[in-house]
Amino acid sequence: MGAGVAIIGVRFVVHGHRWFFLTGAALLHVILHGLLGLSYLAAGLIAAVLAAISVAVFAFRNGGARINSGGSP
Amino acid sequence: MSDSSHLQGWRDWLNRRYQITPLVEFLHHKEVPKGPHSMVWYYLGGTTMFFFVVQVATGVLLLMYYQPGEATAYESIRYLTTKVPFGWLMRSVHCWSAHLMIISLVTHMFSTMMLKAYRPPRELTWVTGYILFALTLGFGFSGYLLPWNKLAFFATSVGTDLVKSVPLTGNWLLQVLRGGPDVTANTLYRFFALHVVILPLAFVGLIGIHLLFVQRQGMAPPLGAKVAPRGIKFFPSFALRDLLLWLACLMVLLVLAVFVPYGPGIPGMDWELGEKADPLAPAFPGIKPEWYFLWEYQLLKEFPPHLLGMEGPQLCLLVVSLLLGIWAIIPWLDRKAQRDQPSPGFSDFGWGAILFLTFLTLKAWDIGATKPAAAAASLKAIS
Repeated sequence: MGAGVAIIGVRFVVHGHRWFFLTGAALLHVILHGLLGLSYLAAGLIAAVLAAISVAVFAFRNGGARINSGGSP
Repeated sequence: MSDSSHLQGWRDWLNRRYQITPLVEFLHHKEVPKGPHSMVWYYLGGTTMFFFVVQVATGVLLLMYYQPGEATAYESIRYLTTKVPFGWLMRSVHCWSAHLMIISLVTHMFSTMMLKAYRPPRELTWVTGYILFALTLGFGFSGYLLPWNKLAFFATSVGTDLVKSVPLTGNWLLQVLRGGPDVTANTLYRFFALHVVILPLAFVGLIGIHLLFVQRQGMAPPLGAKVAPRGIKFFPSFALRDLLLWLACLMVLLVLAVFVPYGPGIPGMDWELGEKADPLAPAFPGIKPEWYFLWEYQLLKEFPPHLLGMEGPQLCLLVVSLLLGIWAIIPWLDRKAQRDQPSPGFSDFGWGAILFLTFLTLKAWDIGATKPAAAAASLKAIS
C-alpha cells in the first residue's frame, strides 16, 4: 500500500500527472482486500466498477476529446 | 605500411566484395535522440541482449556436461556443480543472468510503455518485443525443470496443469506439453528440446527482426518532438557507453554468482539443487513458481473452483489473456500517442499494471499481507 501511495505521490508532485483512475483502483483494491477483509475478487470488482464509472464520467464531462490531456507524457 | 593504410586496405577489400560503404556511412550518421527524458532508458534493450549473450555462452558450457534423462539429469547437474572445476560458477552465472535478463526486459518494456516509444511507426517493434518477452518467460519455465529436482518437478506439474484450462484444446495441449498425461522423462526431453533448440532459434530470429526495426527507424525521439532532436552519435559515443554498462553488468553478475551462488533464497529465486525428483512421492506443500510467475500463481489462488458457470482457473486464464491481449495492441489503442500527444490515461494503465503485479507478487511472498479475517478482526478491535 505504501508503494502505491508513493507511486501516486511521485507522479503527482514530480511529473505533474493528474490521471489516477487505474492506479487509484489498484490501491483501492488493496485497501478493500487487505485492510477491510473483502475477498480478492469482490474487492477487485468494486475497484474496477468504480474506475470504469470514474473514467466514463471524466470522459463525458470533458467531451471525450480531452480524455487524455491531463498530464505528460 | 601504417595502421591506418592497413585498415583502409581491409576496408577496400571488403567493400569490393560486399559494398559495405553504405553501412559505414549509416553508422557514422546514426544518432540517439536527446530529450527532457533520461537517456538511461535507451540502454535497457542493450543490457537485456547482453544477459541473453551470457545465457547462450554459459548455456553452451552447461550443455557439455548436462545429460537429459530420468536417471542422468539430476546426477549430471550434481556432478557439474561438485566435481567440474568452476561448474558451480557457470550454473550460478547462468541462473543469475536469467533473472537479471527478465528484470532488465521488464524494465525495458515498462519504460517503452511510459515513454510511448511504441507510437507510429514503431508498432511492430513493440509487438516483436512483446513476443520476445513471452519467449523469455518460456525459457525460464522450460529451464526450471531441467535439473530434475523435487522442487522443479512439482512446480512444473502445477504449472503445466494450468494448460488444461484452455477451452476445447486444453487436454490435447497438456499431452503435447508433457508428452503424456503426467510429468515424466518425456516432459524432460520436450522441455530440453524447447530450452536449447526451439526457443533459442525463435529468439535469435526475432531479436534480429527487433534490432533491424530499431536500427532502421532509430530510437524513439521524445514525445512531442516534431523533428527528431539532435542527439549523441551512436558510433562511437553511444556504443562505447553501452559497452561500459555491459562491463558493469558483468561485474555485478560475477559478484552475485560468486557470493550468492544459489540465489538470494527468496521463494522463486532460489536454485539450490536439493533432492532428486521422485514422481511417486507426494507433493510437498508451499510449492511456488519462479518470482516472475508468482503474480499469476497468486491470482489463480484467488479464484474459487467455480464461478459464473466456468471453472475458476478457466476464468482466471480468460482474464489474464484479456489483459495480455490489451497490452499487446496498446500501440493501436493509444490514439493520443499516435498523434504524438501525451496520453496520461495509458501511463496510468501502465502504473496500474505495475501495482497490480506488485501487490499479487508481494501477497504470494506473504510480504505485508494479513489474512482477511485477521485484518477484519483487528479493524473491529480498533473501532
